[in-house]
Amino acid sequence: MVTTINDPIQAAKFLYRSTFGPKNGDVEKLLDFDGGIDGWFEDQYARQNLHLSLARKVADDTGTPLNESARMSAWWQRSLVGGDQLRQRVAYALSQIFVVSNNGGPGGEGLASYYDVLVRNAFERFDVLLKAVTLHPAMGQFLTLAGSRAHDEQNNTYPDENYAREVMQLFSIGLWELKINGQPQLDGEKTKPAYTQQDVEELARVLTGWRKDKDSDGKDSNTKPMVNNADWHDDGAKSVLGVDFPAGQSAEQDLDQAIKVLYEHPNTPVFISRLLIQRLTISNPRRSYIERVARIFIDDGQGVRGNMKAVIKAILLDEDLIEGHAMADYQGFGFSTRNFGKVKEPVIAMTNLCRALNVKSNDPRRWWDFPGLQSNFGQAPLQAPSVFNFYEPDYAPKGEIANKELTAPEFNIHSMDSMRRISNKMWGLILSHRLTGVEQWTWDRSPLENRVDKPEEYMAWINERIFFGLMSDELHQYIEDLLIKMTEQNIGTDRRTFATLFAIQCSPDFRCQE
Amino acid sequence: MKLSRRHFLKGTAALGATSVAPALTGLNMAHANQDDYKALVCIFLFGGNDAYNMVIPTDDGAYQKYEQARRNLAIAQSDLVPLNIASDNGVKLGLHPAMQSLKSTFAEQNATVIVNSGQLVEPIIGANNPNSRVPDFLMAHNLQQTMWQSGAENMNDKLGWAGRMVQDMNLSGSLSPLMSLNGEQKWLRNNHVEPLVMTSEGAGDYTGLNNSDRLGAMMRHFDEKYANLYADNYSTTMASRYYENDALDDALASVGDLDGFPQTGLGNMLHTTAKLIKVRNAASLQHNRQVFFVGLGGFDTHKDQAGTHAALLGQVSDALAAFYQEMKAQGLSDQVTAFTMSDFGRRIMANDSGTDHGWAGHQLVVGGAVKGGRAYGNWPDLTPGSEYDYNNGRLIPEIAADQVNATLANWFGYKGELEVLFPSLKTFPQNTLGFL
Repeated sequence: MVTTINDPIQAAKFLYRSTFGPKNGDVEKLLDFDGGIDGWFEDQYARQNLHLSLARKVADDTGTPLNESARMSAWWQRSLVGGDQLRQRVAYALSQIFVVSNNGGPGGEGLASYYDVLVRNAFERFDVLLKAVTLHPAMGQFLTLAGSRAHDEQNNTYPDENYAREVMQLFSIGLWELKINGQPQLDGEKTKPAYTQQDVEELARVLTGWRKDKDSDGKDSNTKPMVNNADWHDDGAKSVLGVDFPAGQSAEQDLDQAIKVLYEHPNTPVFISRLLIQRLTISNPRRSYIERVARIFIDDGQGVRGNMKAVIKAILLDEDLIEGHAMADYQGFGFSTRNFGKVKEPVIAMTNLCRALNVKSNDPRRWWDFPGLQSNFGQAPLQAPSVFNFYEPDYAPKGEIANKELTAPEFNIHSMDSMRRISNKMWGLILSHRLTGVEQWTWDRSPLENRVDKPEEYMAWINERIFFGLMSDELHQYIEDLLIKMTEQNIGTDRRTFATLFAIQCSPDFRCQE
Repeated sequence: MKLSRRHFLKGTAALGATSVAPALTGLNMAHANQDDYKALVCIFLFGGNDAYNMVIPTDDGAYQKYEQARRNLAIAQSDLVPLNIASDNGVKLGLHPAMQSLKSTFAEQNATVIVNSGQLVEPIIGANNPNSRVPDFLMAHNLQQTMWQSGAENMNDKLGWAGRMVQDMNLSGSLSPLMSLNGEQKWLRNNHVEPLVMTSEGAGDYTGLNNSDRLGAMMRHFDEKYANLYADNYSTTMASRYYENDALDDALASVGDLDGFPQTGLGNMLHTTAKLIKVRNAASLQHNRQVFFVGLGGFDTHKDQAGTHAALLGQVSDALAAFYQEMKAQGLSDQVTAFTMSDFGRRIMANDSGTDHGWAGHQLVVGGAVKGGRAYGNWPDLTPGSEYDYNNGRLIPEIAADQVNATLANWFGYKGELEVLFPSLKTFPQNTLGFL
């Protein structure tokens, strides 16, 4: 792990990974931060902006129900202008591991409240986070733990296995037994399943007895943690993953023991670490990078397991990020520099552009979902098609990436349709400098207008404000030549700024990150 | 003046654009032959369809066992849609009342039910072998979906079975004949040609590209080489997606809306599928074979199943019936076969108001090539503890998914070894079933 970042290029790269994209001045602020990079982290840990309260305010101020539109308003405001960027960025990554979706989950109020669980617990201990996720009514509804009850002989019904299965497969230990560096533990040549159907059935019994709490109006609450109903709980003896759960434990005692078993399972540190690395930094981390983070998960240096502050810091400050090292082709040892980086998630590419252009909402009361994330980007916060998120963690597109046994999950949603729609929404954002409609966004184009006849200054502004110094020489040269050529042809300001910005937003330089 | 993208494609050579046509590199090219045309249409029911409430016995004896097992989730016997078909062991079958619209297709003997099929790596029912192997991670959604799409023994293969199948066939076309209207899917992955992934809206406009400055600027990125893996692959991906969209737009421009399709998610997907079949000979397609993937989610009915499931089955039935009628109208019903797949069937015993993940289920197959008038497979004994009971009403399949898949591949014209395509078949007495 590195302890200082004093190079502007490294600072810019760091900010692309740890925030929704740098804004003007962010790189300098990071370089000059009191207390250095540690100080920056401490400052970020201390900041926290919640979503539900903001969504509620938006609904009240605009006289609308607290629906998905109000929740998205809060999400845009927190993501684009919130000062707790690290927390918000990590919460967004966590929302793609502990998936809850409006597709089967509750409405805007419940989802905003669930997102707050991720925001609040982003830097908590892992077991605290996992328990909060488990008991949130949005999760209770989405994965149907709410209402699951002990086997009923009379009615021939059984406990619901949905949450029991997914909490193991997706939220903690994963399918296969893993070494600390992420490679599968082999039994001869065969991978070893981390749990059995018997474990799922037993854990389903452990987790019986929970239901939604009531709000003051007597309706099922979508914001208060679930409560238990002793009658519904199976209080017989159980055994999960080789651990005995004694008879007679309450629903709460059984739950606490189950969380402890998953938290202490040897797979959990490496399984969760790798997923977070992929979401935040690079698609193909070397085994040694995964192992370094997993070891911090096991022990933060003070003897604490699952300290998410330490885990996130280890992910963002790993030496491989500074060196630009990634997994070698064919998963070989050594390293590759070509394989370093990732394709940006479409939503992140959009937030990057918005923050660079300092986009503002025209409605002083709120942000409308001007880009229309779900229908246009192949992804949107808490709107995945299922608990399996927007893409497979090991997805490899046909061709070089698959052939070299590498992964690039985000390509999974770069379909013909979504790439066209993303392009159209990016174009809409470029044009929005002249929009005044209340549900629209806008940005100030004058710095570009003022420089459009001075190609060198124009390019300097682009490189500094949109790429934060990371623009490639080739793209720089191309855009500059384009601008000069169009200027020589007496082409007007609109066409020149539009062409250059269009070329920038769709460039592989902008849509990928290193 | 509104200019089409076509004009710009021709007019931007000066800005350095070159053609990156999405050619079928590696596939054996052949000319489209109208007589030889065939299409497979997979309708994937995501989440695990409760097939035992989709196809229900109408006979008193079998119905009573069903009702006893299902209790308050049982569909009333008097509400069933009778099909006048029976399983191999003589159990008469009916459909869920929401599926009335498919009745006439069954009556025309152009639809059937594959009874109690599912993922198997070797026979269990009748094998008398207490050590019969079962597939890994039964009841896990994504892995079971993967097995349906890749083959029971091909989980670790990066390619899907439809993708591997067409690699060995003479397929024509400039745009990929492997098409998904429901996201990127493993079923279609292969080593030669990227599947075409679209929505039911088909193609559309790049609104920013109504101007040659910007089109030329984007095309500059298509041809650029990048030292970075992701940037380099992003560049080729954006080019392919752009050209695919353009070619698809051209092809679909020649066909208007077709009649009779319900305005539902699945209805829209099958509507667009029918359009793509209709324009298969368009210059940018020229397909003598087509493989389609469409899907519908929401079948993971752990809770409050009754109403949800009825609505989903109604959507499947209405869309499938409309699709069949359209194929008849196009004179292609014998050449197009549609079939359902789902993660798994659901447990016979209920949860509180829903059902949990199970194993075996039933599949519907629709098309003029179907040898209808009967169902295929034995109706299992639903009594707890019967030889079909894996545990607590999770039923053991008797027909292997790979046997169903091999039958479809064989009908489609796959000439390779079926046991190479589906290695699990070696353990079964028959590679294919007689339903096509």
